[in-house]
Amino acid sequence: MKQDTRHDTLLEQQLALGAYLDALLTGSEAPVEQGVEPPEKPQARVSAAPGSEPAQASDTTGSVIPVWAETRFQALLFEVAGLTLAVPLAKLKGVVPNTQGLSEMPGHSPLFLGVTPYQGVQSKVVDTARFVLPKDRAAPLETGIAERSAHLVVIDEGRWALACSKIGDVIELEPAQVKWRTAAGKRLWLAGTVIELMCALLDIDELTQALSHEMA
Amino acid sequence: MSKAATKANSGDDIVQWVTFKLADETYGINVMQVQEVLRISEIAPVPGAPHYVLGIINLRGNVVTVIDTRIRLGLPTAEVTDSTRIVIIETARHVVGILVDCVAEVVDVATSEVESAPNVGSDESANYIHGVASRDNELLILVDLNKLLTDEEWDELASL
Repeated sequence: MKQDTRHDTLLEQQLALGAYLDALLTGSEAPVEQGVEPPEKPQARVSAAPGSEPAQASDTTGSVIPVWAETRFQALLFEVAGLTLAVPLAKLKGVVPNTQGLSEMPGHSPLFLGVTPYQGVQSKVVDTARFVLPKDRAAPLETGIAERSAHLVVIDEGRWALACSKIGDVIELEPAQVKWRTAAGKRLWLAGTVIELMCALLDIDELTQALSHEMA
Repeated sequence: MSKAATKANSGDDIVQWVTFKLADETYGINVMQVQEVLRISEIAPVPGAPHYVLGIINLRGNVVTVIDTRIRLGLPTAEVTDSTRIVIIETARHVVGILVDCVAEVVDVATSEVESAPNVGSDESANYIHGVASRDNELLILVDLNKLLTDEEWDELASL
């Protein structure tokens, strides 16, 4: 009996997270309450048309598929405020524990935690939770900055570092396992979602552009 | 031959910076702009002064305005301690005092070591960051004191 209840709770949580990821992908407000609809199954990818723009391509379903995901690819999982994100290894510079702390620049945007040296570059550390979560969820973040930035995922040749609470496994994905963002999706930094792993796959090129835009 | 001389010969100018701490970060100001460093003394508040002005002090007969640097830089305020100092600085327009958590040391920084300030969405009032330099795994934030306040704010200070 107890097992059934626990199973139901887990199922509800999975459905809620699935719906949340789905909402992230479509750009609508992410549902956070119970009673959400189950997410759609990931759609199989149709080959991108040749001659499309180099960084990404749209298929016939309108899905936007980055070049690095045209064949089987690897990605690193990491956790941010309870949400699992994935960064493609093709776009990953490195992962470091945040042991020496961050230097905080005066007057900085709340999206940034500070800077840290990484291989001769001053990496700007992003408060990933504040960036990826909708504003209403990011405001009352339960975990402190120290916990949110226990590890740093370094991208864009060291220019940016994504603060995260936990580093996960490296996974291999077939493009068909990913539900790709469509051209209508508002969150350009989100390449897609992997429902079976309950994670959001980042589009690093779009993410760094968005971060630079935030700084402009 | 000294390190400074060697670097100077190689065409890389050396600038000396007085470093101080604010909210656990290390800042530097050009040594040529520092007149003296004082222990904190009685600071008389000035009614109607901008929020970042702590008050005025009497420095050997001269009135010097003291700026609360933490407030000016948007940092959380802190209690005055035994290490708190007032650094008397001379900018292009005024002589003022800036309140700092503690004064650390004087360091030589080659111009080639200075990187432009990382763009982290700072507001316009953060133009005072001249650049940054890495020192012993620590970031040194170099401040252009002339830009610590805007022209209007310097004028306002002068009228106190």
